[in-house]
Amino acid sequence: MSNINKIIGREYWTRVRKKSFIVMTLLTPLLIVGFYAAMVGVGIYTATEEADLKRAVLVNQSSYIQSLPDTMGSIVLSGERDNFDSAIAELQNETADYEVVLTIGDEEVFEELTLGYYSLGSGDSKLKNAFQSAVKKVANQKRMELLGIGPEQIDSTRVTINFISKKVDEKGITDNNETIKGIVGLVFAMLIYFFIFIFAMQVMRGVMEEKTNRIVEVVISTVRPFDLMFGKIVGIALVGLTQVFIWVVLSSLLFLVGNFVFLAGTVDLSAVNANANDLAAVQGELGANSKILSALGTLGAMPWAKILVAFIGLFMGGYLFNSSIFAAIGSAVDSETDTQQFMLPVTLPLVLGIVVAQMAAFTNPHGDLAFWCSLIPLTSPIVMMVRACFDLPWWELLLSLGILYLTFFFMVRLVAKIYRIGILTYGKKPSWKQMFKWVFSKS
Amino acid sequence: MLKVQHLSKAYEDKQALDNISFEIPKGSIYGLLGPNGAGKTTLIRIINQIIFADSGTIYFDGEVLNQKHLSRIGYLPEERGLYKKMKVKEQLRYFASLRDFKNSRKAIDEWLEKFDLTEWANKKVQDLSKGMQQKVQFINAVIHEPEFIILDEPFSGFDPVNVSLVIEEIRRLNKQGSTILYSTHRMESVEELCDEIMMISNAKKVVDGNIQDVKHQFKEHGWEIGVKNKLSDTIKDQWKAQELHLVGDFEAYKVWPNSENWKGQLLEEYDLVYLKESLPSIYEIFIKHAN
Repeated sequence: MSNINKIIGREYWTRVRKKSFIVMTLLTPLLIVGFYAAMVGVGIYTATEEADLKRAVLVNQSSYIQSLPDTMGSIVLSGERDNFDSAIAELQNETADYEVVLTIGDEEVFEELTLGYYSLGSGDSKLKNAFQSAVKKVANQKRMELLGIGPEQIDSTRVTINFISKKVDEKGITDNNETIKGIVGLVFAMLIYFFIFIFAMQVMRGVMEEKTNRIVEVVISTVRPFDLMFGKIVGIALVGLTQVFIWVVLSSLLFLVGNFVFLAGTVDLSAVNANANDLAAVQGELGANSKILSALGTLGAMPWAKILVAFIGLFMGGYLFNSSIFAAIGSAVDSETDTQQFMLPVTLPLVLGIVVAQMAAFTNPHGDLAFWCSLIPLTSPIVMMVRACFDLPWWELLLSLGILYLTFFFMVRLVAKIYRIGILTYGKKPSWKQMFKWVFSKS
Repeated sequence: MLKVQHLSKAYEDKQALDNISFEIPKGSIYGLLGPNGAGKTTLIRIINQIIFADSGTIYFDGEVLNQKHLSRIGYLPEERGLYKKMKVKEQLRYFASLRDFKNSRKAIDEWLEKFDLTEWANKKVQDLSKGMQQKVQFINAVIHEPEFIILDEPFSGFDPVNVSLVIEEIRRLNKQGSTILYSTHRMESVEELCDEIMMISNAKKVVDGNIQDVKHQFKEHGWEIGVKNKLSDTIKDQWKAQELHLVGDFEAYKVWPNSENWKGQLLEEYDLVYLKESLPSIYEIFIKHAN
């Protein structure tokens, strides 16, 4: 046991003291928050942006459309022209006091209209849409007039629908913002997916380093191969936990600071913690912000303790399970290029997990497929993560974790057999068949 | 120190060791000889408990070999390496700690001093030259003051200066009480270093024992003579004489006389400079019997 501790210590400290580890650990939260800030910034900018006004003239050959509003979105109509050619010529000579020529074609029947948008430089689809919808509105009104339907009648045909989706349980009726939960679940699931790869690859590289540098024979002359492999897996797991812990702490701090800077003026942050019942009142007061608040309310009301347990538990379990397989692969090959053929079958279940997780997140988190995929250890770390963000009984999460860790303890013994033969086998490119043979060979 | 009895080991496709028995006396330098693929590395790995024998028993210092003996064994494998990104000193300390050797600092400093590596102590291994890395590997194998040291082709890749440096250290460790198992397929250094040897070929033991005993066991009853005047053609024929090209004012021959009274005849008819029994070199025995 003491030797395992020494190996864990070496694996941990050599990695944690590396410059790249320190830089990545400190920089990643900054990148994430910076990215988030940039998104928010872009959002705010596009929402508040005063679009460039474009001056336009209209060449109207339609007998049905008599007039258009003076401003359509960012288009300012400065007048009408009769001659299309001269209007275009002015535009070409840059003597015109407008930038756009709009045309409405002369149609035989008032069932279709041909619109034209002629501009210097490339056309802005936002402007085109504004022009089109303005014409459409006028045309629709005109057609209804022709059919003898007055404006009052038109208004009276409109029905406004308010859709309410709420969840009912023993506590009463609460907000039910499934999309938010799905997004949160998927973000965590993707993080698990990447972390499993990042850290399992480190295990594989570590094993290969020891094998190709021929250190391994010296080490296993004093340490059991199983201890060496297990120590490496656990050491790197601790590196992963350290990194994730620092990321969580730093990101939360930065998000808090960032939220104060961005939102302090517009949204009362305490509303985030308000429970769903108070939320309705807060929503009413704030009106325009109600959507954001509802989302924040859903976030606040999510089962964070369960999500945290699920995230750490599933990340670790998924990592342990996959890294033991990666360790076996690393031990069996002589070079990184040889790993490809073994990586694919190991990667596929995880990719499948992502697919099922997406489905679970946005359609049915508790369907049969999602249920079984969240129990099978090949996909469970990813699928269960999404499901844990919805209302999930604790027993299902614990069962999934139980199966995952049990499989790992079984798996690690199998791969240890591949490992102990693989690390001393040079110059042979093993096949799957060979590796299975190693598993069942006697020590 | 080490007693091996009826050791056998087979891999999937071939027999690696076939009923090998031998004993390494305490305090000796024991040569393990054999051509490539004879089973030397397999034998060494079994002693190190990296792999396990199909049958047979090994006794270490009177006890059946087990896991807790490993910290008393030092091992320099033929295929050897270091963690490239670890510092020299850190690395030596790590390996010493794996072998439960406490207070390794002083020993490490002494060894680095001895091998002229002190100023490299805090450099990463990848910054060292190949020769320096090999010295570190050697230190690695003996840092924990093991009673039993296994050196598998310890000189491969060393330049002559470092070879003599390492030979000196091996002798010193041996004098201080360590038993040494020296495995090689190079015969030059064997007679110079070893007290006892075992030769294996194709998984089987060819011979073992004291180096002189082995030579006598394989002697072909030939003699080496030096005479002032040349042997006559008749004598040459009778004694199957081979001319030896030695420097000096005499003629040297290797002879296999078959008459009872050949020594008398030699003294009577020739001006004898020297006469000695010709024993085969380990190299000659190896070439003749191990292939």
